Amino acid sequence: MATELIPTLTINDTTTFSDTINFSVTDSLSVTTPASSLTTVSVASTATATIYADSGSNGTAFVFIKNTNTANAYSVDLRTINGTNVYGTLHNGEFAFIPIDTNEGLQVLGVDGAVVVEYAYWTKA
Amino acid sequence: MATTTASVSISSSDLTPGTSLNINASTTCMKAGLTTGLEKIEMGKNILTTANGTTSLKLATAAGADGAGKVYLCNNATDDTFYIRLDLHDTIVGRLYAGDWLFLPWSQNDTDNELVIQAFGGSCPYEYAIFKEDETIVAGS
Repeated sequence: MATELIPTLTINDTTTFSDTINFSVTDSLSVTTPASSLTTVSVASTATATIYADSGSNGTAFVFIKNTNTANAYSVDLRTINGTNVYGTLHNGEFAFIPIDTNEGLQVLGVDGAVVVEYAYWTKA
Repeated sequence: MATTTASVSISSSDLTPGTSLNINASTTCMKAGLTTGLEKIEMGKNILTTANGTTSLKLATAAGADGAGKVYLCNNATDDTFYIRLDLHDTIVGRLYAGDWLFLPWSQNDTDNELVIQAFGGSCPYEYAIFKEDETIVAGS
């Protein structure tokens, strides 16, 4: 059964440029299973944790993921399971919202120390 | 100091019976090291046609080791079957269908981390913003 998910992103900057950057975008997503409500995983330095397993077929899953770490400069790399290619790094407190390819999957790799990652995902209906 | 704040809220009234979903998170977009804000930005909008094939949204960069770029991309198409595929060099990140957006970190220091977009199904108007560190463009591969 499809349900509705409403993600909204707001970007604001009043200090960097002569003009203000301020925009917001929202969406209405029909989602279904497999899905995961908010949960956490602790990933040690150089260890990996699967966020969304490679399903073996094309599709879309919407992933919210956040590095909850506040102490030290520990971070996690976001990377595909298929090929372990790194998108980017979530530093302390940073988040991402990504429509990942289910055929690639998503995992995190701990960098420099143990990090607790908060995440949730929903599959596109 | 540059202070670019990104906030997300994710809500649903019918995802879980008997309870609503309300996720909220906010972060300041910082350079790697978390002491200095990202003070460079590229923003724009365009129309991506299927005839364009693969198009570089952002070329790979060589400088800015451990760069901590952030990417916002939104597909403004209105046909639900039209989508934009975002690739990181040769790796598929995901598909943005009509109205969908993404916000993700981008390791701009990697010479293989060219951001590539391609439209499928039909023409997709899109908008983007890339918050980044200093960079040196390298040849595409």
